[in-house]
Amino acid sequence: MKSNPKAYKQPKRGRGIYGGGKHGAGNKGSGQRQNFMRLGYETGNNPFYLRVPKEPYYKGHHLKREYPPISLLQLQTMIDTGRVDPSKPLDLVALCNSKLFLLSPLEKQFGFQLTDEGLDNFKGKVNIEVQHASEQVIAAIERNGGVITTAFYDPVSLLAMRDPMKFFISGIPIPKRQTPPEDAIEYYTDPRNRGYLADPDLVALERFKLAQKYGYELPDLKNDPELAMLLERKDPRQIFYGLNPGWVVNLKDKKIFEPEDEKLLEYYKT
Amino acid sequence: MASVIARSIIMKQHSGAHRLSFATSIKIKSCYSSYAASPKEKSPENYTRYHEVSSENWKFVERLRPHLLVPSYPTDRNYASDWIPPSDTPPNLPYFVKRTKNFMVPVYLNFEEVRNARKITIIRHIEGDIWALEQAIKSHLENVTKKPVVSRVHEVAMHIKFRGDYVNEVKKWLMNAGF
Repeated sequence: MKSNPKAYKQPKRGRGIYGGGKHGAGNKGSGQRQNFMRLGYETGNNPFYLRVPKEPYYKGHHLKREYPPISLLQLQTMIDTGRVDPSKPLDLVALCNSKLFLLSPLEKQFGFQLTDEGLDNFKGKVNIEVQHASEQVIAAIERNGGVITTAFYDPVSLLAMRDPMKFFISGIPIPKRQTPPEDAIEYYTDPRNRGYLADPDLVALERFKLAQKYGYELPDLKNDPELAMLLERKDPRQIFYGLNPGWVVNLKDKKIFEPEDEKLLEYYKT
Repeated sequence: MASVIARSIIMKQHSGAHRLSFATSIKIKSCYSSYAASPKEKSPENYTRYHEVSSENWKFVERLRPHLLVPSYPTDRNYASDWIPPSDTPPNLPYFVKRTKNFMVPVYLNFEEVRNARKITIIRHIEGDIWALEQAIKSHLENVTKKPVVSRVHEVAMHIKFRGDYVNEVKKWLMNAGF
């Protein structure tokens, strides 16, 4: 319930009421003159909002690259349930094609990182390519006779790799993979991270060193029956195995086309 | 070009003058983010010549094709993860727990809506005597944890909830039971 509008009139503050006094505003100063200080001002003290140092935890978060995790346990479960085929090289396309992980490059997701959960029970022998991996994970893969590479993909390539069939239907040529940004070059050229831009001889040396460090015997790849699969690698400018940048795939007629223009060939040259 | 065609079609459909003025203001949306739809696109003769690549490379395209359905799990190997396939014949028990479409045991960790800190283990897709299953799992969990376990049975929705995070323990129990 509420009284009608204009039914109650606020009494006027007369100059003479309450004995003609100060009406609660006090005597002299900012109270009487109603000129209040700005917010946070402590009349000459070092104010509270400047006394505490700033801690910018999320500074530059909109520029940082995100790598959603996949654990070794999840990878082993995918192998056990037949969601990925370990007899072929596993890359971002194979992981996305399992339809168990969704990658959104438009939200600054630049691929997957392999994490160490389920490291002790990992038995898969795989040739895997991820975007980030720790030293323990690399050791767990190589102990079983597998091969791991860390590789960078730009967002345009990732949009094509996330759903290749949808990309081929669009009729756009396969994009050329771009080089990593300045702050990622060090990671992807380091043989300790098994970077795709590292020297293969140094990678072989680091494989041996890591086996010494963690105390396992490195399986000999030369006598391996699956050597061809384990050595399968992409070119630094390539995003799909066996398909070059610049090619157009026609899914309906099952044909692949290559451009003949010299400038285009020069651009797509690896 | 597309908007011009659309305009002429609409003009044919409506002969009234008052409708014409409305129809001419309609524009069909163009997608300029794709080069093929942009006004800069030229006729095919202006583009590069091309040739077909050897059909041996088609196997690499086939490799990129995803499964249309969830593939069945391989039966000819030792399972290194903590996942094991369901037994061929259902176990001789008064209850049954169905696997999901991905061949996983339907046990999940939920967080209570009111207080996010409260963890609830939920078992779904339970058929048959749900009370017998509740008693069996409850006594197993109490043996393992040496603590009283609080549970709630929902017969209509065919699920059981346990207060606390017992997901791995319940999963292991159900898979060992043959579900």
